[in-house]
Amino acid sequence: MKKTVSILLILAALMCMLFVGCGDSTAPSAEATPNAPSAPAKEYVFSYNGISIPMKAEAAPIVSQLGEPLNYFESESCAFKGLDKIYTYASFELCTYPVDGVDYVLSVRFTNDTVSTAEGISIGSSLDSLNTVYSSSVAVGETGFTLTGGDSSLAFILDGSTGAVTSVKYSANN
Amino acid sequence: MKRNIKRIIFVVAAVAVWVGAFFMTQRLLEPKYMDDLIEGALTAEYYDETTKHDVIFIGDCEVYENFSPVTLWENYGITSYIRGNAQQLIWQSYYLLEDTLRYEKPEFVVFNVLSMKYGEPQSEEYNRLTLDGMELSPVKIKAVEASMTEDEELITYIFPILRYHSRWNQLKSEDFEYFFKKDKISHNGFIMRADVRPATTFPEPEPLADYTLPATCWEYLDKMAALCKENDIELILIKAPSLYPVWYDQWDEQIVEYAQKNGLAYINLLDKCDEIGIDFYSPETADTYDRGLHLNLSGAEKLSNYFGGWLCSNYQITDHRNDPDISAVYSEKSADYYAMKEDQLRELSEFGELKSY
Repeated sequence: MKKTVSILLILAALMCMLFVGCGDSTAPSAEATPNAPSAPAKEYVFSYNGISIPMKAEAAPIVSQLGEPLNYFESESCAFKGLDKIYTYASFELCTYPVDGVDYVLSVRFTNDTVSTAEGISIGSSLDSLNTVYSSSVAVGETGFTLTGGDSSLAFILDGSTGAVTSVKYSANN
Repeated sequence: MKRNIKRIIFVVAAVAVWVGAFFMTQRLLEPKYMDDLIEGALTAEYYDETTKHDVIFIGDCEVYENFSPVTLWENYGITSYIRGNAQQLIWQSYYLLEDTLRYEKPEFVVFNVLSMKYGEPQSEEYNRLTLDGMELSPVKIKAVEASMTEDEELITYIFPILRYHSRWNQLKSEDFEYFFKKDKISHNGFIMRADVRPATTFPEPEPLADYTLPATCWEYLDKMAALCKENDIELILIKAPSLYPVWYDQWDEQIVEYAQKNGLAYINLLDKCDEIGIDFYSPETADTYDRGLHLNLSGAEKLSNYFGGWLCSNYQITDHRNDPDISAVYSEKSADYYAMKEDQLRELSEFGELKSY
């Protein structure tokens, strides 16, 4: 009888473990989250007219400071709630992603040469200046170069034949 | 001796009760995907099918929102099913095809190529929508292994309770309502949306440093082509007519080249919008419900009519409308389809938007 009781106790314990044994991990939420936002990254931060735009920062205060965009686009993700939003300004596009009803900065992409990175690189900058500023050794023929720091990345697309910068984009890392 | 038998019976009964309780608890805690995130119910619905299909569509939302199997049936007598899910990645499409072949051998497999742009698993949330509903089999195990992101574990797909145990304090009425039986949410894998939201402007396509489609995707496309060939199935590649996200010309060229090299048909339906009659922009009558990302019901019906015509004029395909058994099944499917259409139109007229869909 003692053995039987032991078996029953083990089975009951196993059942309990299902509920408590795995800590407090949560089930997938109703929103597709690239990942939960953490503290804004310090390493690669775009700044426009004195407005700092760190990746994964809450978007609303930034959007409000930037003023009316030239264009606004939103797209629902397949299945999940919330909208990915793209605000187009005169010289860059700002994309956001939603988490629990709050929008966060996903990326900033330059659309012309009137803005530059904090280190002074803009669309049209030469490969030499890029290599000097970021202490890199990118060669002519390479078409992309990405720097990563904390929660952010800074990616450059380069002209394959000249090495000149053709696109600049800050992104939130997954 | 008698005492021993009693003990054995008692232990067996205890284990049976425990196993029963385990699976009942698991069933309760699993998301039901009925009131919310209905896309999560798509994979499992396929197993309720009672007839075989001429055509199996596989891919992402660009198939389950854009093709209407009922239109293909009504206009051409073609039987079809969509095995598509939200952001279904190519390896998931491949394994869902393998899974499908456990039950039937279609004449045609139509694969939408948008997912060729993703070379790595994207998120657990989307993995769960596609894979949770798959019947447990060696194919599911392979699908999960190919799909898992860094923090996921295979065992949680075999025993979902290990993933969802913490839902006990988030249980909703739908968890009890759909404990035993779920409602049907699709029409042979098609999710119907009758509302209209015309396309406006899109952001400029972003330049990429490298337009080469990922090597993993080509490997799976090779596997898919080989699997179809092995089973004497015609594989057709398509790019559905969704305006956003962008489908780059450079990607298209690679698919065209692959199709030519492998003797496969490929239609970029984005180039056929005028021929199909798809209108993305008229305020009241546009064929999209979300500004050009997906087609609405009228768009899906136009596209399916065009695609059925294309299939019939390029291949020998049997018209099953004179088969009484299949007709009876599809007659019921059509009735459900029109009932939902009517209900959606009623909601649109009453509330100006869809409330229950």
